[in-house]
Amino acid sequence: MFEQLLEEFAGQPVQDFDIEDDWQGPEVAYRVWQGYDDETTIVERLHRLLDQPGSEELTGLVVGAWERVSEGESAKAIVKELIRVAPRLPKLQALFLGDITYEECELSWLKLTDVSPLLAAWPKLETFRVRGSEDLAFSPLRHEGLRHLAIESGGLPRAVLRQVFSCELPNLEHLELFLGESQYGFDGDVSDLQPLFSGRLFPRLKYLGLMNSEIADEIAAVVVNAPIIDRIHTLDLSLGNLGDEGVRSLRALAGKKNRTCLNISHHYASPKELKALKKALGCLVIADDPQEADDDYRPIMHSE
Amino acid sequence: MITGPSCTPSSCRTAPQVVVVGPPGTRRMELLLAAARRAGWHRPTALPYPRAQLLPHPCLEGTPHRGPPPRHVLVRLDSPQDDLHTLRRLLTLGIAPTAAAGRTPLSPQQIERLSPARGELVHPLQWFLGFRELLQGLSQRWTRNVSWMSHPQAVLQMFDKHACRQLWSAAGLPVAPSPACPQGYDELRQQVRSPHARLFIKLRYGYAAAGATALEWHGSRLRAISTVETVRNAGQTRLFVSRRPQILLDERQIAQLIDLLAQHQIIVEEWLPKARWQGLPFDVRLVLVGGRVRHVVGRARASPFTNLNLGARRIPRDTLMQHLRAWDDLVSLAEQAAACFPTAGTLGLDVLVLPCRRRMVLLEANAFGDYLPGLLHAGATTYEAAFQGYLAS
Repeated sequence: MFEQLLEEFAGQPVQDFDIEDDWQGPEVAYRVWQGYDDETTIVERLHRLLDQPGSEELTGLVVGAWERVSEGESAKAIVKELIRVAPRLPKLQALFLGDITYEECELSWLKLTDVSPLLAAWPKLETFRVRGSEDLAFSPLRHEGLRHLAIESGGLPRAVLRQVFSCELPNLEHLELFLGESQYGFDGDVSDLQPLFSGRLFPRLKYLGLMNSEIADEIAAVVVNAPIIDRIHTLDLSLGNLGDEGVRSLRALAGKKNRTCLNISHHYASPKELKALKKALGCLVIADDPQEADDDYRPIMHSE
Repeated sequence: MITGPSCTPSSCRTAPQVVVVGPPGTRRMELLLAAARRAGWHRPTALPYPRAQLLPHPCLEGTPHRGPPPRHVLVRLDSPQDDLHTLRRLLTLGIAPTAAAGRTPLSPQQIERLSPARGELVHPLQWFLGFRELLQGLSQRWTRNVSWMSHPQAVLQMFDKHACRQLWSAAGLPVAPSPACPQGYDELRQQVRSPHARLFIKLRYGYAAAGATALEWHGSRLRAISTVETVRNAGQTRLFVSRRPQILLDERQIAQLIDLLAQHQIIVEEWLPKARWQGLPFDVRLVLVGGRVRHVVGRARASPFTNLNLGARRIPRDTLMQHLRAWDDLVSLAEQAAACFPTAGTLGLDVLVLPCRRRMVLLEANAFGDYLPGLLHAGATTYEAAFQGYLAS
């Protein structure tokens, strides 16, 4: 579960912005938010931030809990407001929508919205991360600036995957998809990832994250033979339920010409299989946070 | 009713002996004894609760019952902690009052066979009722030549969250709203009808973080975040304090948990939002000696349960003074809250600061809440301040 708010985003420290005194210059990624029963609204905080001298120089912005988020209120209103004020942040390069802890709102209770207009409002935006998947949509979009895209969720519907794959992101280098589990909305299977595996999407992709997945073993088995593997430098299968079966499949990466680094942190692999994997692959294998299965039960990291 | 400080200047200065009641050999006890020595008392004694319960006077430990009249003693009661012998004695004393309260107590046989695991909460109601029996016994027997750092009556009041709330409300001090007083989950849902609710459920007797459960529902969605784990074993349900908050999403499980906690009596408050420091919600623990605020520390943690035992980050006093927008109000509120326990020489107080960083609410009073090792104020630890406070008064 997402216990803590971000301390760092896109290379900048993150600070809450509540009142004027919190302004420390544009080299900080400020977080605007609204608490439960808050006297101040997120929109008020946003405008207060924009009123600060030098705010037009801001390059990073973090949007936390919006109004009545745990009462099922969607991100529609805050997204609309962000689009409205976009001209006041002409230098924005990184945006996080949904930096919300589990205490503020259960992950699966977060309601998003169509975020393509938000991205379109900032053509030069390079990094976009969003948390939550209910009502999340990516209507048809071509965005030349985006290099880093991440969707953090406990269950990502295949419809959203389809939409993301239909977007033209010619400069996308880093993609993270938290697929989640069926209980929380992942209604697809490994075949839904075929467009990505085929290699015909996102010509500049270098970092591929298929994370927080309850089908990590199946993904591992298929991705090792997919064309996409021949051009990415990192494969990130962390936070999911990867086990020995998946780890054995990953040994096939050893035979590839392209040296891919592997991140399988939060995994259920045995020390024996892990050792064999590291021996087979010449590159960096990150396998932190080993987990112990409870009988057959292997929970993914963010499952709520 | 006792109104003034229980330790008068003359009796304190001539008090030749300090007795600390609690499990000897533990870190808390060692620190308390060391602090007493540093304040000038030469041979402070550690007296375990089971032993204390049998003595007609605290300084008769190790001396024959006949002989010269007992010397004057300053008694500092401290936490029974999880000493097994003490636990068994408290539970034994709690058998009759628990039955009288209409609940099933652990039997003498069960108490004898008791082998609690780490972090286990053994029958919280019976524990408290036994503790109350013991402390009331001490206050009735230890009357001559005894000064209490905190009188047993005050200690017991602070252990009872409902009593604290009533005292504070009567004094016009702010506490979290309490929208329900249920005997179980179903009754709670009947008493709180709104489609969206955020509630905080605590065991009535005991420290808040042990047994605290945050509950939220919205429409048909429901979740509970709890510091309590329940384990069913051979037809019996055991309670454990968990290090990581447990999230429950299943209504039946949630109802079972709340019903179980309700058997030991619960209070229900609104789950209020907290002010944040560096992105983390925090609350404030203050230690008061002689009714005045001494040590103050903020506890920041990414969870609804900000409690130092569970790995919270400490916010130093100076930082808090700058970060809060009503520091003087905080100090004034704390002293007014402590004034409701005039016979408590020392106490810990938990205050919740709302997101505006100006308004505050009293959460709980903790009779033994000055266990903050390493925290200094004016060059003294909390325990040193407690004993020095008596010399100064």
